[in-house]
Amino acid sequence: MSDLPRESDRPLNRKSLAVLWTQAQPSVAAFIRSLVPDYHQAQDLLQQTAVVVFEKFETFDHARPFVAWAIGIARIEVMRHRQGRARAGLVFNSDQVDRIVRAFESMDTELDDMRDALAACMNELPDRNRQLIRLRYGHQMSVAGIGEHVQMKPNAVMVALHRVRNALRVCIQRRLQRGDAPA
Amino acid sequence: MNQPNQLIDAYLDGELTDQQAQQLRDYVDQSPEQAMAFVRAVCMDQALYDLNVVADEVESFENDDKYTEKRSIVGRVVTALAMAAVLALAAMIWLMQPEPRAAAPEAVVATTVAMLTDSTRAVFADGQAPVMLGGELPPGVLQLESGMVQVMFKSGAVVDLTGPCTFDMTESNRGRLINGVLEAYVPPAARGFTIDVGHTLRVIDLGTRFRLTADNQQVQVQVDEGHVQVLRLGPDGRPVESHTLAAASMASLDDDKLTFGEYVPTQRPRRYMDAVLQDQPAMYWPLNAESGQMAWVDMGPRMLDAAMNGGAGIIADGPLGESAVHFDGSNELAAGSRQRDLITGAPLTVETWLRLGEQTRPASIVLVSPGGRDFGWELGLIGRDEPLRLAFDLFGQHRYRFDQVKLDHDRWMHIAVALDDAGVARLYVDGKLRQSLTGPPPRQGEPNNAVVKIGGWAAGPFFRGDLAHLAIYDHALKVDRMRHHVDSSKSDTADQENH
Repeated sequence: MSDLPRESDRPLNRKSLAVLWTQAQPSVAAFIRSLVPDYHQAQDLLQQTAVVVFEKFETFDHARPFVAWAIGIARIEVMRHRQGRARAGLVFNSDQVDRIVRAFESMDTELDDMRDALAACMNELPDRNRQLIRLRYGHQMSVAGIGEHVQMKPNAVMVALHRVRNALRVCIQRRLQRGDAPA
Repeated sequence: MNQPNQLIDAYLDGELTDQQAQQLRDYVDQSPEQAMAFVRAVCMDQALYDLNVVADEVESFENDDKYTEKRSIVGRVVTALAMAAVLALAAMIWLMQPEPRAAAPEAVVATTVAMLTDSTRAVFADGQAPVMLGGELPPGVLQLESGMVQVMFKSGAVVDLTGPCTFDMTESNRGRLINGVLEAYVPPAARGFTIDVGHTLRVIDLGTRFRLTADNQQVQVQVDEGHVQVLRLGPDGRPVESHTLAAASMASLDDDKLTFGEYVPTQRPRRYMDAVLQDQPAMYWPLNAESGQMAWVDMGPRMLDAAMNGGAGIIADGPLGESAVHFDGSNELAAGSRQRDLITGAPLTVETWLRLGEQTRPASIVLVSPGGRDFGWELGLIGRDEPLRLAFDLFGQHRYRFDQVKLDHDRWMHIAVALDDAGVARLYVDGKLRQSLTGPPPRQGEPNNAVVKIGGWAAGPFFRGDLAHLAIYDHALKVDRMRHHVDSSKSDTADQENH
């Protein structure tokens, strides 16, 4: 029965796909969020993009960067999503999207370093600030929802969140300049 | 609010006004550097999500009356029923109970977090109070020595545990796998269901199905459906690395290093397996390996887990969309050596999925015997220079040759031979009665030290071909049950196609 398909007979490039996708996925996810800020919609689109990437992988030209290829697919998925929603939430025109795509393509390993630094910077936050971040990102609460929860006005929450994010940006920059990203 | 970062933050928070949207467009338009600054801000925002979607906060959030997401009780019940077919009514009543609230912390500590919804030959560690099916489970450690149990958390998340396994149920949507194999099914309502593995890895389910294997050396996460977030934890228990895994991906943690790869999701043919188990087989080897472990496990009451001699070949294209075992003419599965009380005489039924290749030749498929040929039985292939046929040999008594039924090559067939007390042997192919043969009334089986050999035995030619779901019963199954088994398999196959 040597003609039976075996696990080991499957094309090698299928094996590399999962690795490539895992490496590219943070960039693709961020790219989608740059065009679709709503986290849940963006997650749905990420999943849809993953499906298409897996389906189309046979057509991927290995001479090209995988991230750029995957972002190209994500862009198409975002456009389809927007068409389906009567262009709801459209902020950027196609020239601006081109510019954003180019910025993502030029990031290289910067994103990985930034994520490592961010993990370390989170630990430096005062408890109250960390709580705000967790409400916003961990519980995915809206600004208004956070305001109700911590008894602050929405505007005050926005300002507070902005300050925390600024603090994180400064911390990340400092760590990246020092080259000591991981905690 | 004209500072770029404020604009970007407002954009990502969904709070941008039309005027600010124009300002943001202008900002991105102005230079590639500004577009890059925008992209960096988005990346940080996305990374904040990845690092912070953790279940402990979700849990405390849900305990807060004021901000609890209003779930539909009906929706939760429907989901629960879909996820756990067993104890449906008990589960429904249980799920409709109100969840503990933050206002009564004492009650939260004292309450149950899960329910035992299924159990197959479960043996718990000494000293552990027996857990009744349908019983509510308080927070604490389940130490399963063997068998399988299914636990439904109050959140609706369901986990299957395969022994040996140690699992700590910590909260109503959270647990810790200490070692063993865990498979989780998480409905949307239980999104955020979290499993820690030891103190090194955290898996947060984003509404999906995944599988976890943990031993002393390695932890492995395999995603069947949807997404999970995998966090590597530092010595202080805080996440130091975060990745989102999509379906068909896997991650392994080995020596504090995470590696990633492809994973072929398997979907257990539950309906077929349930149909088989309903008829109480004395021995049942699924032969549909998951992580190389399940194939040889006997799901019957004797627990005669098999062992492969020679190079076992697990193939991906089993009869029901899952894996199966390939026999190459030199390997065999042996089970129950020196075990007494195996099924050596009538009545009995032997049932399996079988696929013959072009190279298949006469051979033993399955044999139960104390060692000689005067006691026991064998199902095998005959017909050296002609199309292969099945024969059932009741050693020392009668050989039933099913000569009217030619076997196909290169397709999965469901075959079963049922021998009744009167000595009538019936061959069913794909759920239909194809031939009935009468022999002398068989002798009663006697206590013995028999073995089960699957795929051949030392003195006979080995089988070449594929087998899956081999079951042996101590009663003769009727045609309606055979048909039911095959019909159940069709539902599983349809599930696979939809999957």
